[in-house]
Amino acid sequence: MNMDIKNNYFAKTLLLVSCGIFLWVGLSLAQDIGFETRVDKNVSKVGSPIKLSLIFDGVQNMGAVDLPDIPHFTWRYLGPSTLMSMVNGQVTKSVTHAYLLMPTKTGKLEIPSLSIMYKGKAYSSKAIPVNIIPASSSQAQGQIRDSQPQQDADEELADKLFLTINLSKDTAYVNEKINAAIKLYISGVSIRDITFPFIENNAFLVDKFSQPKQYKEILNGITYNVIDFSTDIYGLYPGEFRLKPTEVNCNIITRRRSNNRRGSPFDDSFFNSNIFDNFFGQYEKYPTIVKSISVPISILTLPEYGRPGSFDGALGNFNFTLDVSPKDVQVGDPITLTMTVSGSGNFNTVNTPRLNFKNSFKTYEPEITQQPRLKTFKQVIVPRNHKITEIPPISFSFFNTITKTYKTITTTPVPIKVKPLEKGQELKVFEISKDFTDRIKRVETLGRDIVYVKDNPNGIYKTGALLCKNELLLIILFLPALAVILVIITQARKNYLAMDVPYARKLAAPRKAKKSLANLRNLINSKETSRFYDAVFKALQEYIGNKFHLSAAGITSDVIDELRARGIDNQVLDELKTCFDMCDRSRYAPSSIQEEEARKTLKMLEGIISKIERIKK
Amino acid sequence: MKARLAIILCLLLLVFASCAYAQNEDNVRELFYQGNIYYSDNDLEEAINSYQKALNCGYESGALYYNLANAYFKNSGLGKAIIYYLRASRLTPNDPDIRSNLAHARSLIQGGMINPRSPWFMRFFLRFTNLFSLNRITSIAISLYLTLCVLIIIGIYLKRYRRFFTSIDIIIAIFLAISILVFGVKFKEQVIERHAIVIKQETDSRFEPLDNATTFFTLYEGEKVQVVTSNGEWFKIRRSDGKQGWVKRSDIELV
Repeated sequence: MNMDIKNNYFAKTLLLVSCGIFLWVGLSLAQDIGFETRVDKNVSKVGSPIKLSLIFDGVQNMGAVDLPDIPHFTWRYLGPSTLMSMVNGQVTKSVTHAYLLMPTKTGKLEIPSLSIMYKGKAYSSKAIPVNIIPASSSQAQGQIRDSQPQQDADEELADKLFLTINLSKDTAYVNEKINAAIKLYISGVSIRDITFPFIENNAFLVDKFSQPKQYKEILNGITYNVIDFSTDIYGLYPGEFRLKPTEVNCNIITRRRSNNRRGSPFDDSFFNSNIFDNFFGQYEKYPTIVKSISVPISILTLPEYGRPGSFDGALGNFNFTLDVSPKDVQVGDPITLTMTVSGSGNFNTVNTPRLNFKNSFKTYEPEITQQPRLKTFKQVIVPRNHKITEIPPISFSFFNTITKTYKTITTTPVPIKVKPLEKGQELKVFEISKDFTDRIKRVETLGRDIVYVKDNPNGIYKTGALLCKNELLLIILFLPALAVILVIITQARKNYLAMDVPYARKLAAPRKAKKSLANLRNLINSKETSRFYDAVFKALQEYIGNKFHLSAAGITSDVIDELRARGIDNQVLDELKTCFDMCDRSRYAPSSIQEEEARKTLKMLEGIISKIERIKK
Repeated sequence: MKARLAIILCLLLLVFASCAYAQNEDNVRELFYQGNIYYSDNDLEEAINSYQKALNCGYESGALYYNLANAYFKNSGLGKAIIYYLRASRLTPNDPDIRSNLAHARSLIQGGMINPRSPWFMRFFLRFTNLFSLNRITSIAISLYLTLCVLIIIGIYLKRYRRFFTSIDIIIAIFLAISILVFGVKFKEQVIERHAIVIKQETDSRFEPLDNATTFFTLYEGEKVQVVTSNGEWFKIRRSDGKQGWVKRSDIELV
């Protein structure tokens, strides 16, 4: 039972999935495809082929199409190319079949509309006009580009690079905004350094160009890169005019040939490419001026009939609003009127609405801000007395270019409350100097570019020579630190010894003893043995005095008892006593001293000092 | 005798070395002026060639990098221009022309610069560090260090003026600490970290160093990135907002 339910559920799911797949496949199959034809150029010569592309959008399994006989052309199939792309999860695919069409006759010819059948549905393309010009004599020798006549070249260039101008209207009033869409079409040529269009005409005021837009556009079967410059122009005087051809300066970039032959700037590298040019050729610039055609335009004067008194020349379709802040003030306090004109039209003709306040308010120069579809006037007014109860109505008039009539918008009176000055206060209304207002009015638009090259190379260094990577310098830098450390240690030791005199004397004892022993040795060597025991006694006094921090003058053989108390070895003390006795004997019972005896005494003394030094404490 | 000969040989070597240095410097100057002539004739490719040849002599100068950057800028090489403006600013960071041109070039980067806003004190400190080149801050730090050492030694011996010297030592030590800090920042920026500029009009930063890897984000010509590591033909880079990805070596150039 359970198995039956499971099987039933599985069968239902399978059925649903199958239906879904069939539906999806059916929808996919039923989907329309796109079909169009394009050529790589509209102007060619007899014997110079044109590439015809048959583009099928939304399908990739479309086979090559046998073209019908095209009058005055022979054709050859080049091959297919497919394209698949995914944008935002949506897959688009297409196949393009390319053909070479060889013109056999000069004149204005036409590649006729082509029809194909796909999944039982007929699709057809648009006919494409082409201009076939005569080939030169050298063309037959296969040297088309080298000896091309200038006229042919110009014609071919005109097809690849041209400028159009479209005005939003051909009749307008003085100062009425006319949008001029200027488009530069580029196909098959490489151009750089494109300038903004130049419109020469004294009868028109040309607005600043907006940032140009770039997009692709298909015109007569050719895909063009389009640079769209847009601006607004305004007629200054009434009359019938022709807008002079608009000009765009640019440089056409082409490769300079290695053998110094100069091709035309629009040579087709498809048929004449030389692999060595790619390696040894350089780019060359051809300065070119691209011109549009001249355009007729009528400029009309504004009608006198119905012109309101408050009209100041504003043209367009506007709205006018007023905002007052604050509404509760004291005499002499500023009130800001914000008057906003919005809509479409020539905002340069919109002036500050006139205020008819007589003497009740002191007015200042307004602060004006202009945005693409908005102009705001911030007007500061100061009430002169407390009897004022409202801001009177303000009128703004303009000529509506759509209805071709004058229109006036008047605001309603805005109630305000003006309190009188308190006792002791004085009304102070400040005047703004003309210089100050002039400075505010002057708004300059500054250009921006890079600063020019420098005339002098100034400091020249070895590349990458960094001081911090100089190893010798880093080693030398340790020396001052080392010197500081040594000085600090020496000074600290010196200070310590100055504080602890017994330790300092104890430390100095062996050094001084060494000196005394050297002196004794000199006495023996110089045979001055008469002073020998005096010197030995002094040396013993000095050494023991320093070593045990005792007064040197009072040291005699009696010191031995004190030294015994300090734990000196008895043997050393015995030797010391012998030494003292010998000194006493010699000093108080002088007799000649033998050198050998003196050396023996010296040795004994050395032994005593050495043994005392070896005692740890 | 031998010692005398050795001294003479050393002196001769020094003379030859200084002559060769002067000769090379003259070559650099000549190529620099030649480049300027090409630039004023609007022959920008030849100007670039001349400036590059001057750099290939093994010498550099702020003005040389600056002029080369200008030539690249005028010749539609925004990425290269920014690289050379940055190199110029490393040698002469106080030059207002370099700063102005670099700012202008950066303003032309497609989509603008991605610059996360740092706290005011960091911005102030980084602006302060930009006043010094690496060599200059090294010289300043060394001078302060030597002065401090000498004053410490003098202060130890002149006990009577010890307090006076201690005060001066503290002031110099503070300046030395600041200069070491600035040096550290500059050293990290110029020696430890590797920065690069995108020289292609547009390049994709991918998740993996593979041609068919998914694109993470797109970089535009002139954008500055930090090189984290490399793998064959690929560099792993970090953008200023912290995002990392792999780009082809040929699409960026180290500063």
